[in-house]
Amino acid sequence: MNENATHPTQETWTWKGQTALVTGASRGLGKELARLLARRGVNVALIARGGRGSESSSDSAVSARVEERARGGRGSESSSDSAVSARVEERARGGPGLEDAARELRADPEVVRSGGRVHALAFDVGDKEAAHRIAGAAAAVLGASPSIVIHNASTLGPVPMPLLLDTACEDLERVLAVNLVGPFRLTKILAGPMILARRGLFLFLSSDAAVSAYAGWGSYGISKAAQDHLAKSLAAELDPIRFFAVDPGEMDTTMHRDAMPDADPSTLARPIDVAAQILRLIEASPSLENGARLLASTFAAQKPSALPQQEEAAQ
Amino acid sequence: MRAASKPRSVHEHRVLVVDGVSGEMHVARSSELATLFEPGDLLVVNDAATLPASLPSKTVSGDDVELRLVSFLEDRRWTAGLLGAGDHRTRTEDRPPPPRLRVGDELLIGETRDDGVVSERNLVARVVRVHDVSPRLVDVELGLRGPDAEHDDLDAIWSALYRAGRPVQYAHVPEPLALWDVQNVYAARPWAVEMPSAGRVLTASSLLALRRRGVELARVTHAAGISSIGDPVVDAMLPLPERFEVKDETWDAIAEARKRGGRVIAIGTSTARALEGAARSGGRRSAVTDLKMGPSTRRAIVDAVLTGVHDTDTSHFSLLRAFTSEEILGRALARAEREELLGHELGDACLVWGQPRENVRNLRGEDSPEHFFQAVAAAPISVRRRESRPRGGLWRAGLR
Repeated sequence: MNENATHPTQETWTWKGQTALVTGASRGLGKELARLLARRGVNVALIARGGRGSESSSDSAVSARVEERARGGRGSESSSDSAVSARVEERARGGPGLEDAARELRADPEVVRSGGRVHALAFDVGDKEAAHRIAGAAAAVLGASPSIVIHNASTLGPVPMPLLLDTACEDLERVLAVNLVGPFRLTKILAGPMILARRGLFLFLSSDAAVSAYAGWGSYGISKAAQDHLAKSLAAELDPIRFFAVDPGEMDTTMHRDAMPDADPSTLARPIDVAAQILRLIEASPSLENGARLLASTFAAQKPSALPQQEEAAQ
Repeated sequence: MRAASKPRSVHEHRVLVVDGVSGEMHVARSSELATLFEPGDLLVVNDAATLPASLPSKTVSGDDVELRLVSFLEDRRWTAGLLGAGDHRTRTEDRPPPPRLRVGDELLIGETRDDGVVSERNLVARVVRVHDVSPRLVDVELGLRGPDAEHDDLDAIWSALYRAGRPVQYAHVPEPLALWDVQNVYAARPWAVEMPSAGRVLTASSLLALRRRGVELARVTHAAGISSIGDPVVDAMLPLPERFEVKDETWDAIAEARKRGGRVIAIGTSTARALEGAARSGGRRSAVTDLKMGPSTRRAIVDAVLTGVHDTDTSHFSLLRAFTSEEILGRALARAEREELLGHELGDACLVWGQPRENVRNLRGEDSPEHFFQAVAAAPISVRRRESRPRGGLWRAGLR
C-alpha cells in the first residue's frame, strides 16, 4: 500500500495542456460538462451510444434482448453478451443525439472563442469490445490520451424501476455492466499512460442512491455504491493519479424524468449549474483527499468562502 | 525456438538477462523485473497503442481482400498492404494473391462482430496511389458512405476503423487475438500497427515497483511497423520508415540519467531505434526514422535493450548485434532453447546489456540536451543507413 496514497498536494490546477473524455455526453449533465470543458479551451471527446436519439436512459438493450429471444437468439452466448449483440447497431457517426450535441457545442460562442475542439465518438461504454475502441479513437482524435476522464454515462435499467425481487438477474448484470464494469474497463486502459505522465484525473458520477437505500433503486444504487468504492480503491493504488466519486444531486434531466416522472422540475438543479460546480471541483482537486466522495453542491458559486468538504453521509 | 501460441499471464513470462561484455547470463522471472535494474537507471518505453490494422474488405465486385495498414500518411490517408483471401492461420506467403487494384478503385470495409459476421460496409478505402515497387502496396483514403456519409469526419472515420478492424494476427497463434491481447498497459496514441511487444512484461505493478526502487520511467512514441505482408518484394522493404516522437521531457530524463551515472534501457527495439535515430538527427522531437541497427552501429543513447526472443534471421536479432557480439548472441539463443523459453511476440523476453556506448565527450555534467546532441553530432558514429527520401507531410521538424 502506498503510504502517501491520499495526501493532498500543494500543486495548483491548470487547464493548459489538458484533454478530456466524457461519457454519456449526448445530453444532460454529460453534455454540459463537455461544453464547459470546451469553453476552457480543453479538447474534449464526447462518448455516447449511437442508434436512436430518442432513447431514454432506460435500456434499449433490454428491449432488444426481448426481441432477440422472440427471434430465437444465439443460445450459446451468455446473457450479457446477447444483450450486447442484439443491441441496435451503432453507426459510425452516432445517433441524432450525439451529433446534435457535438454540433451545438461546436457552435457555442464561448467554445469558438476558446478554441476548444469537440469530438464525437459513438460507442456503448457497457460493451466489452468498446473499451479499447473508445480509448484508441479518442487518443487519435485528441492527439493524446485524455488527462481528464469523466465517467458520466449510466443506465437505470428498465423503467419503471422494479423492486429487487422483481428484478431479472440479467437486468442487474446489464446495469452493473454499464455503471461499474464499463468505467472499470475504460479506467484500466486510460490510467495506464497516466502512470508514466504522473498525472491524470478521473471523476465517477455517483448518486444519493449509492449511500441511501430507496425502494426500487436497487440495481442502480448497488452499481453506484460499487463505483464509489472503485474510485476509492483506485486512488489507494495509483496516487498521484486522482480519482473522485462525485454526487451531482438531483437534476432536471431525461434520466431523472425516467426515474421519477412526477417530480417537480422547478425543484431540480439545472445540469449546466451542476456542471459548473464540477469544474470548480476539478480546479480544487489538487487540494482534495484522493479517493474522496464529493458533493458537487459543495462547490457552488455562492459559497466562495466554504472549504471543499468530503461528504460521506446522505443528505 | 518454439513460438508462444497464445497470450499467457505475465507471471509466466521469463527474462533471459545477458551481459554483452562478459557473456554471463541468467534467467529471471518477470516478477523480479525491478531487481534487474539499479536505482538511477532510466527505462524508456514505446507508448504507441496497437491499432486494429487488419481491415477485412471486399472489392465492389465482391472479392475478399485484407487491407493491412502499414503507415499513417496524414488526415485520412494511409499506406496499406493488400492480402488475398484467407485468414491468419495460413501463412501470409501461402495466401492467394489479392486482386489487382487501380487508382480510384474502392474497397468496402466491413464491421466485424464477435461472431465473425461482417455487417454494414459504410467505411470505404479509395485507392489514391499504387506503389511502383509492388501493386500490393497502395495508398488509400478512408471515407464514409451510406447513412454515415453526411458526417464524414475524422471522428467518425476513427470510430469506424476501430469497429471494423482487428489487430494483425500471427500464423503461430491459432485463436484470434483481440485488441486487448496486444496492448501495453501504458499504451496511448494508436501509432503502432503491430504491438511493441517487449512492453508486455511491464504491468502496472512492475511500473510502480520500478519507481519505488528508484528506477525512472520515460517514453517515446514510435510507429512500430508490420514485418510482413507475404509479398517478398514488399517484405524486403519492410519496415518502411517509421514516424516517431521524442518529447523534451524524455531528452531531459536521459540527460538527468547521464548526470547521475544511470543507464538508459530501451524497452523494445522500436524504442531503441527511435532514440538512436532521433539522436542522429540532432535530437529531433518528431520525424521519421529508417535507422537499421546492426554490428556497425555505435550507440549514443541506449545502454541495454529488452526485446523478445527471436531467431537469428530476424531484424530484431540484427539490432542486438549493435549491443554485443555474434558469439555471445549465439550462446544466448542456445541458452534460451535449453531453458525452453518461448519465442515471438507473445513469448519470453531477453535483456541485453550492451558493450560500452560510444564515449561521446561532454556527456556528463552537461546541463542541456542541446549540448549533448552537439557532442553526438561531433562524434565519429558510423551508421549503416538505407537511403530515404523525405516524404512530404511526414517530416515534421519539431526542434526546440
